[in-house]
Amino acid sequence: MPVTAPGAAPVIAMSGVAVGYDDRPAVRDIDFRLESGEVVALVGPNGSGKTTLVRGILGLARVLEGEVELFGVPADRFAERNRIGYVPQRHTVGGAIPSTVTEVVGSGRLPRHRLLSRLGAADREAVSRAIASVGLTDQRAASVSTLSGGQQRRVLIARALAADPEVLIMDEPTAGIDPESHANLVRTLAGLVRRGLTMLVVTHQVTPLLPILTRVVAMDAGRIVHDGPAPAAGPGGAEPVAVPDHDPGHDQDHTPTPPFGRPGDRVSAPAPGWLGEPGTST
Amino acid sequence: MEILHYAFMQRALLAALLVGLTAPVVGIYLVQRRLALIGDGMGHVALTGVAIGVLTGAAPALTALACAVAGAVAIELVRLRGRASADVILAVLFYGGIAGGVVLIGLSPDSTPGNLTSYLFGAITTTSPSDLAVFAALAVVVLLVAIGMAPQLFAVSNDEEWARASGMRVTGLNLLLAVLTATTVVISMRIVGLLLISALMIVPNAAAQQLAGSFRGSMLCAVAIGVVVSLTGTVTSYYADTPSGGTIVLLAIAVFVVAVIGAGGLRALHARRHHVPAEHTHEHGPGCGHQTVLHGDHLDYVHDGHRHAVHGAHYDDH
Repeated sequence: MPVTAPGAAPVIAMSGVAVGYDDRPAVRDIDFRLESGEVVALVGPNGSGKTTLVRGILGLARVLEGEVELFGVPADRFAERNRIGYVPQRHTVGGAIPSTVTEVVGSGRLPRHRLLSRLGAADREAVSRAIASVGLTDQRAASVSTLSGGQQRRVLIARALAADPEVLIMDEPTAGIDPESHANLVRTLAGLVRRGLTMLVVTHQVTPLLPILTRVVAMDAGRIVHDGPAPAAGPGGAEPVAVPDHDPGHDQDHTPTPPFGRPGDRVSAPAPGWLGEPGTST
Repeated sequence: MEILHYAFMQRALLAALLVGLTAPVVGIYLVQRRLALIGDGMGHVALTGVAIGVLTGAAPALTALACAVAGAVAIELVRLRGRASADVILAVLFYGGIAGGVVLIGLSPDSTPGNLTSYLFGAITTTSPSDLAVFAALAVVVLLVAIGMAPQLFAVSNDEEWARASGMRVTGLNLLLAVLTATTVVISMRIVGLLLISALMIVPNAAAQQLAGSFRGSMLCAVAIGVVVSLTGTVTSYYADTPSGGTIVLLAIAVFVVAVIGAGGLRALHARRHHVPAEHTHEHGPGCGHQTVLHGDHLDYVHDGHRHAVHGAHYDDH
């Protein structure tokens, strides 16, 4: 449920946006708003443009047309990057040299600092809080390369949380991890939502996130093809949302994709398989 | 010690100490970014700088520094463009650097095959007092920057895309690392030699990677290895009458081999006494469903008749 104060700027506002590489748009005609307090899933098949859209928001891909505003400020002039926590799509954390959970999460404080300033006691406390909030306090001194896939994903979330952001943008946080780690991760995210964090989650698997979602946005072929409230969670759930997730290996049920209308049209097809099941992602 | 009576050996040992300290500190970021061979290329480019110095009578250390820094910036800008042809452009730059160096040194009336070899592979007798002064000043700057900005350099080396999305000055930090690498090449050129410089940036870190569990621990371990092999290699070079660069690098490789074998043995021993993640896929935690028992300063989880305690990324039986 959006909790943006009346008159306050949305966290993300995009209008008529095209994002691409080398002047070739990969997504286009994007009109999208993320209000404070919302938890939005961005879904769609591989190649539909989800990650490109997120990269456009974060300044990692070129916005070729239209306007992107972050907290009411044009994205190219937005300087308060610590207000946005980014969890990139990674199956592993770190480079060739071993690094501990605390060292990786500690990087997350840097966006709050000027180039030459040092991290102090308040930063170390924030890092400990971030690690605790993803349930990795016992592993804080462990080398990240020795952690399970799910735990490594939580390290990335902790790094994003370390700067005390107002919004988390996550790219496939649940892909490629086992069902049990999946459940732990969703519990972690639910805890963050209870603390009032706004979230935009790129995912192939909506069902496990339903308890925390307020809205589902679906993309196909570089355009938004569905934008509506999330269905209620629970056995037999309320109204399933038609998610065009027909990538083999990501669903258990490969029911044919329902036809989609014009961009922005609400699409619904009551096929529970579209919601994806935990642990089936590749 | 007899060798300390010779001024050239005093200078050689001081230069070796500077190399042992700086090369691993800069190299750790290159290894982290999987750019282990970039220092090699800068060594090639620096040879042209040395040759310009030899030909014009200017201090080779300073002309090498100018060329290596210019090469470093060019390499980083090519890498930044990220085009498919980038590796070919880098190769042309590297070969051009060494070919230019060999030709220019050949044109110098003072050149001999011996002094070319000493630049390429290191020699303990070649560090002049002015070289040592330049190396010491550069080493202080490199260490202050590389350690003072360690959090930023670590963040960018660890995850460049995340750092960019988080508003960090990634391009500036990449250029800074390139210039630090070029400067380290120059500091190392007398003792280790331009063709072997990269080895002392990389091999101590490759050994430390086997022995340490944290980035900070790896850096300290790599510096310790770097200093020990540089000093030992320089002394060995004196007694065995071998080129110092090759001797130091062979010692570093010996340490690396011992570290790999030792770490492998320790891991096998550890795996026998601990649950490794492959054997224990369940992740204990609040609400995981297993009964907990307070045990000293931690909780044990009762699991299949055992009490499991979290230890790093695995579980010990308590």
